[in-house]
Amino acid sequence: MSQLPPTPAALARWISGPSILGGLVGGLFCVGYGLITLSFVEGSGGYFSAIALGACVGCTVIGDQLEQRAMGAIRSLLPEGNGVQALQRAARAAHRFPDASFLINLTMWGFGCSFVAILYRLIAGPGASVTSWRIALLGLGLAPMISVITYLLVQERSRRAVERICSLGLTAKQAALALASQRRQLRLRLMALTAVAGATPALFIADVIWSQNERRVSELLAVPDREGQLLLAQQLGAELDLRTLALGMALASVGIATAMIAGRGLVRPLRRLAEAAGRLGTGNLDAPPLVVADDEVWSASASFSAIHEQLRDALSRLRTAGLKLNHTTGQLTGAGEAQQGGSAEQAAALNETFATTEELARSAGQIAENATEVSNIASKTLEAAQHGQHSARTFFASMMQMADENRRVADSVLKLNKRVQQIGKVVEFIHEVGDKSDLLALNAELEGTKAGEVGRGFSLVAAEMRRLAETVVQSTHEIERLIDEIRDGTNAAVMATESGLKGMDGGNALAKQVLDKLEEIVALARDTSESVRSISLSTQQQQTGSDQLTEAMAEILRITQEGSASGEQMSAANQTLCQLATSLQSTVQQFRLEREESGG
Amino acid sequence: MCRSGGNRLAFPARQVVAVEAYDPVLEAPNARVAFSLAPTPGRTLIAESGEAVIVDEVLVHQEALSLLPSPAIAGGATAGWLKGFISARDQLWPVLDLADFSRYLIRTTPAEVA
Repeated sequence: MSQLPPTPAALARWISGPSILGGLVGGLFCVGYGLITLSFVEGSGGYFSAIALGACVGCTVIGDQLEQRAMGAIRSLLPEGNGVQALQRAARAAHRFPDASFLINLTMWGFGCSFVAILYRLIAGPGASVTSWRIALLGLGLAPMISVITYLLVQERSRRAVERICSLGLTAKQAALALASQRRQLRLRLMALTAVAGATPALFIADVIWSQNERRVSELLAVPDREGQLLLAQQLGAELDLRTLALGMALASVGIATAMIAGRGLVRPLRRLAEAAGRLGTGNLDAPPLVVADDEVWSASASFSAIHEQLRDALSRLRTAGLKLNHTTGQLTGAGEAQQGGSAEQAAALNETFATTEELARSAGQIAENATEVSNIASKTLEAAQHGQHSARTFFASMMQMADENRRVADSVLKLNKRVQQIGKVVEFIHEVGDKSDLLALNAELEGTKAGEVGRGFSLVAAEMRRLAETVVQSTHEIERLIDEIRDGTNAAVMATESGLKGMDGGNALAKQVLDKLEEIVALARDTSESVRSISLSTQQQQTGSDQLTEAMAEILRITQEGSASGEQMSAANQTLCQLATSLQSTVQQFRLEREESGG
Repeated sequence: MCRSGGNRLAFPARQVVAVEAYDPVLEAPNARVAFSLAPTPGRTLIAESGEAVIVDEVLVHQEALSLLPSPAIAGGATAGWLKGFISARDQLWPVLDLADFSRYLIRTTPAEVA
C-alpha cells in the first residue's frame, strides 16, 4: 500500500488522481476506437481526432476543477491540527467524493461526446450525420463504463483518505456520526455496476459487428455481378476478423477487471471486518478499526465499531468494577471481621452493662426504699417541728407574761424604794428631833448643874431626857442603817429587776427568733417533706425505669448476639463475594484492552 | 467634860453658856486640831465671850469636883488656859479655860483647817 500524501491539498489531489487518469485513458480509447470503427467523410478524420482530443483534455481539466471544489473541506484542513467538526466535514467530503466524481465524469463524458459529435457534424457537413450520431452514442455508451472504473479506483483512495482523516482525531463513533447520512443502496449499486460492466462491452461489440457488417455489405454492393458477390460473400464469411475479436476480448477484459475492482472494493471492508471480528473473538479489544465502506457495508462497519467501542467500554468498566468490587469485598470482609470482633467486644460490654444495669435496678429499689423511709422521717420531722413551733409559741407567751410580771415587780420595788426613802426622811426628822432633844437635854442638864444643888433634880431629869434622846438618836441611826440596807436591797432588786427585764427582753428576742426559726424550720420541713415525697415518687419511677432498662438491655444483648451471628454470616458472604470478584476480574483480564498496554 | 478624838477635856460649867449642834456657819475651832486630828462635826460649846469650841462628845458631871492645880511649867507653856485637873470616872481630866482655849485653837489652827 502506497504512502498517503502528508498535506491536505496533496491528499485531495491524490484522491482525484484516478479520475484524471481515467478521463485521459478513456478519451484516448475513444479516439482510437473511433478511428478504427467510424466511417469518416473523406478528409475529416483529422478533425475528429483534434476535436476529440481537445474535448478530452478540456473535460478532464473542468472535471478536475469540479472535483477539487467537491473536496474543498479536505483542502481546508490545517496542517498543525483541526477540530472535530472540521475533520468530520473533511471525512464526509472524502467519503462522498466517489459519487461526486462519478457524476462529474458521467457529465463530462456526456458533454464532451455531444460536443465532439455536434462539432464534427458542423465541420464535416450533412454527410457526417450518421458518423456524428455514432460518435454521440459511442461517447454516451462508454461514459458509464469509464465513470464506473474511475469510481471504483477513486473509492479505494477515498476510503484510505477517510481513514487517514479520522486518524487525525476522530473516534469511531464520531466518524460514524460524520458518515451516517450515506445512503444504503448496495443492491442498486451492484445492479448498476453489473449492468454497466455487461451492457457497455455488449454495446461496443454490437457496434463493431454492425460496423463490420456495414463494411461487408458495402463491399458486396460494390461487386457488379452475382457470382462475384457470392464468391466475396464466401470469402467474407470465412474471414476471421481479428480486430473484432481483439476488441471483444479487450472489452470483456475491461468488464472482468471492473467486476474484480468492484468485488475488491466490496470484499476488502468485509475482510477487514472479519479480521477485526476474529481479533475480537480472541479477546483482543484494541482500538476498534475504522473500516470505511459504503452503503450497508458501512452501516455494518459503523455498527461493528460502535459495538466494539461499547464492548471495550463495558469491559473496561467491568474490569474497573471488578477491581472495585474486589477491593470493596476485601474491605467488606475486613470490616465484617472488625465488626465481628467489635460485636464480640460489644457483646462483652453489653454483658457488663447488663450486669451494671441490674445492679442499678437493685440500687434503685434500695434507693426507693430509703427514699420512702426518708419521706416518713421527713413527715415525723415536720410533725416534731410543728410541735416545737407550738411549744416555742407557748414558751414565747410565757416569756412575755413573765416579762410583764417582772415589770410589775420592778414597779413594786421602785415604789418600795420610794417608800423607804420617805421612811428615811421621817427617820431623819426623828433623828434631828432626837438630836435637838439631846442638845436641849444637855443644855438643861448643864443649866441644872450650874444651878448647883438646886438644879440637881433638874439635871437628873435632863440627863434622863438626854439618855432618851440619845437612845432615840441611836435608834434612828439603827433605823437609818436598816433603811440603808433596805435601800441597798431595793436598789439591788431594782437593778436585778432591770437586768432581769433586759434578760427577759433578750430572752423574748431569742424566743422570737427561735419561734421565727422554728416557723422557717417548719416551712423547710414541709418543703423537705414534699421534696422527699417527690424524690420517693421519682425513685419509684426510677426503679420502674431501671427495671424497664434492664429488660431493654437484655433485649439489646439478645439482638447483639444475633447481630454477631449475622456478622459471621455476612463475613462468609463477603468472602464468597470476594471470590466471585476475583473470578470476574480474571475473566475480564482475558480481554486485552489498549488501556492495559498503556498502563491504564 | 468632853471627849475629842478619844482625848479627854474638861471645861468649867459656868464658862459654857450653851451647847449647840454643829454649825459650819459659826466657824468655831475644833478641839481635835489640838491633838493633830482631822476635825469632825460635833457639839459646839459656846462661851460667854462668844468664843466656841467644837468637841466630839459632851458629858455633864453634876457634882462639884475639886480642881487639882497644874504644874507651873505647864501653866506657863499653855499661856494660862490650862487651869488644872479633875478626877472623875476614875480618870484624870484636864480643865481648860474655854475662851482662852478657843483663841489658842484659832491661833494654832491653820486657815484651811479652820
